[in-house]
Amino acid sequence: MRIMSASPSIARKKKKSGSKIGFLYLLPALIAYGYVVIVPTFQSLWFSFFKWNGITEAQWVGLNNYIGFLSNPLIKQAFSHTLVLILFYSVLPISLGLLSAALISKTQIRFSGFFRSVIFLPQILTSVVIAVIWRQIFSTDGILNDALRAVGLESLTQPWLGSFTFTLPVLGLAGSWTTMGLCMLLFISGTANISTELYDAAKLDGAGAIREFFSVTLPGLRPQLAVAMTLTLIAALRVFDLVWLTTRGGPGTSSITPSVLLYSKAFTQSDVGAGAAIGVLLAILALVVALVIVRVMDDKD
Amino acid sequence: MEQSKRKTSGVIAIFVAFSLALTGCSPGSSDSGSDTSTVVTDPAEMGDVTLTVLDSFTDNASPIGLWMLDIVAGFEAKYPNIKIKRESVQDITTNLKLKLADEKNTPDVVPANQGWAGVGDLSSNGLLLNLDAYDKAYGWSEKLPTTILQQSMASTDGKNIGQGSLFGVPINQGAFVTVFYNRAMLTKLGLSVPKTFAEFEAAMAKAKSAGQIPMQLGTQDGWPASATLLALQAALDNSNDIIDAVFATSNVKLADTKLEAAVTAYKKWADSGYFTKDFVGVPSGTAVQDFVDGKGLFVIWYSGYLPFKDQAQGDKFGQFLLPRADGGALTGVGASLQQFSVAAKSDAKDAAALFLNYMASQEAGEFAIKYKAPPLFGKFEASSDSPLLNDGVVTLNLITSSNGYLPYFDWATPTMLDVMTQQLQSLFGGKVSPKDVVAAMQKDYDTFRESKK
Repeated sequence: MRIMSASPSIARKKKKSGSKIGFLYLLPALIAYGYVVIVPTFQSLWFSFFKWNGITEAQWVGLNNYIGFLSNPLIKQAFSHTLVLILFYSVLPISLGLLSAALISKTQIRFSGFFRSVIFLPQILTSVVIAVIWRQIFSTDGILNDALRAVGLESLTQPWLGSFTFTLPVLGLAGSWTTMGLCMLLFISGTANISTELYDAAKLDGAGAIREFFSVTLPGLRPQLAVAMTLTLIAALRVFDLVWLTTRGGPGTSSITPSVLLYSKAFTQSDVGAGAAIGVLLAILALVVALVIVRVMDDKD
Repeated sequence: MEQSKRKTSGVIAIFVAFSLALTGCSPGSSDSGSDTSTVVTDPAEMGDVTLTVLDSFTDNASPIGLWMLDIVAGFEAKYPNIKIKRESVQDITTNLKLKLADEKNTPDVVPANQGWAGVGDLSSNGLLLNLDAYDKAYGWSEKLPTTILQQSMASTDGKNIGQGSLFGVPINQGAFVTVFYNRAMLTKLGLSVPKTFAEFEAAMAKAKSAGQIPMQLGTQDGWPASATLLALQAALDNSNDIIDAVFATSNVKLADTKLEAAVTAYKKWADSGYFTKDFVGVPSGTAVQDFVDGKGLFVIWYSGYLPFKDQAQGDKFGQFLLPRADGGALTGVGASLQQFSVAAKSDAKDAAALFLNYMASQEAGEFAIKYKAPPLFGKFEASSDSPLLNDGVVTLNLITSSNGYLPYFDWATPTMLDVMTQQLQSLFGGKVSPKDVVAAMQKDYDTFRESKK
C-alpha cells in the first residue's frame, strides 16, 4: 500500500482502469442478477422482521417470527420431514449412482448411451410432469396397486398418497427417481476421467472389485461427489411442487415440507413475514450445506 | 487478498443498501382512501367515462365467460356514455393487492373475494371504496338477501368481516354447496330425491347394499374434504350459530354448536363405507370425474363445478340441498359466484357503482339463465330446458325465501381451511376424534380473534 501511494500513479491508473472495464463487462449480468436474486433475497430478509399481511402497513416484530418457530410444532415437523427427504433425494441416489458408476467402469454395456439418457430423463422433465407420473403410479387403482393385485399381493395394496405412514416415503422415492440420473451421469463421467493406470496398479496390487472401488474410484470421484451432494441436498431442502401437486402436505400434515409451509403462510394465510422467515431459514441452511461440503471436500486435497 | 475481501464486502454493502432503498422503510403503505361525498346514480350526469374492470372470467367458452361478455355488451348498450375496458386477473388472492396498489394503472371495478384475504384485508387498508352511500342510493340492502349482502361487508377498523360497511356487491349468479345425484341410478335403485336427512342416509345405505358407490369423495388433495362437512353443518347445525361464528357476531363456542355432530356424522359415513373406496388416496378431481362418468349415486360439491362435457351430460344429473335433520327451513352454504368492489382510487366511482348494480340486476340473472347458470336474486321460474338448471333455480329460490344463506365456515380465519383439512384427514386416518377436530378449530379461531383485539 505504502509503495503504491508513493509511486507515480501511471501503473496504478492502468491497473484500475483495467479492473473498471472488467466490471463494466460484468455490469449487465450483475444488474440482472442483483435485481432478480440479490434484491429479493434482502427483501425477504427484511420482510421476515415484520408482521405483514401483504396489504396493510407492516408491524416491526424483530425476531419474533423466528422465535415463534421454536414453539411451532408444524415447523419442526416440516424440517424433520426434510431429514427423511434427504435420505431419498441425496443418500439413496448417490449410493445407487456410485454403484452404477462402479459397475459401468468395469464392463462395457451395450447401448449404455441409451440407458444413460433414459436414467437422466427425469432430470430434464418439469416437476409438474413428474408429479403427474407418480400420482398415477401411486393412485388407488394405479400401476403399483395393479401390479400387487396381479401377483396376488392384494393385501399389500394401499391408498399410498393418503396414508399417514407411506405418503412421505413414496414422495421421497419419486424424488430419488429424479435426482438419481444426475448423480449417475456425474459419477460415470467422473470415472471416465480417472486414469486407467490407477486401476491397473490396483489390479497389480491384487485389489478386488470392492477394494478397487474404495481405493481408486471413490477418491477419484470426490469433485463429482461434492457437486452431487450440494445439488441433491438443496433439492431435498426445497421440495415443494411434488408435494403441492399431490397431497398439499397431507394427509393431516404428514408430508408437509418447509417450502409448502412457506407458500401457505405467505400466500393462503397472508402472513408474509412468517413466510419470508421460513425462506430465510431455508436459504441459510442451503448456504451452510454448500459451505460445509466445499470445506470438507477441499480439505481432503 | 485483504483488498479483494474488502471489495467483496463493499459490493455486498452496496447491494444491501440498494435493496433496502428499493423496499422502503417498512413494507406496506398506509393509504387513507374511501370517502364518498356526493353520490351520482344518474348515468347522464357521469359524462363520457371508461371503466377499467378486472375479472377472471376469461374463458369465453364457459358460462361465466359468456355471461360477462353479455354483461359488458348489455351495459354499454344501455349506457352509451360509459365504456368498459376489461383486464384479466388470475389468482385473485395473490394478485389483486398488487393491482390495487399500482399507482399508475388503477382499476375501477375489482373482483375482491369474500372472506379475510379479500374484502376483509383489502377494505381495512382503504384499498376498497366504502359503498354505504351507494347502498342507500341503489337500495341493495332492501333488494338482496341480507345473508348474501352481509358477505360483502367489513368493519372499517379491520377487526371484523360480515358486519359494518358494504365494500362490494355480489353478482347475480349463485355458487353453493349442494348434493348432486345420478338420476338414472336413483331411479334404478327405486329411490326418489330424499326429503329428509334420514331418507338421505337410507338412500346411501341402499346404494351400498346394491353394490354402488353411495357417495363419491376424494380427499388426497386436502381442501375438498371440507365440502361435505360444510353441507353436514348446514343440515345439522343452527344457522345462526354458523353465521355468528364465522362473522364473530356473538361469542359462540364451537363446542356448543352442532359442529361435533357434523364431524361425527361425516366419520360415520366414512366408517359405513359410503364413500369411494380408499378415498383418502383419491384426488378430488378423480372422484368428481368418476361421478360424471356415471360411477356413484351422490357427490357433495360446489354448484357449477362438475366437469360436464356438455349440457346433455349435465342433465343426466340433478341436485338438491342436504335436507335439514330437524326438518326446518333449508339453509345452504352459498354465496355469489363473485362479488365485485370499487377501487378506492378509482376516478369513476359513480360509473363503477352503476356497473356493480347492473351485475346484480334482474337482467344479469336472465343472462345467467341463458347460459344455464342459476341466478342468485330476482324471480325466476324453474322452466328452462335444462333439468339441472331448474334444480338449481328451485334450490336458490328456497334459500332466498328463507334468507338462509350460510357463509363458508373457513372464512372465519385465514387459516381455518387448512385446519379443517388437516383435522378431517387426521380423523379419517384414525389419529383424532371428532372432539379433537372441534377443539383444534376452536384453537385456531381463538388465536385469530385474539390477534384482532
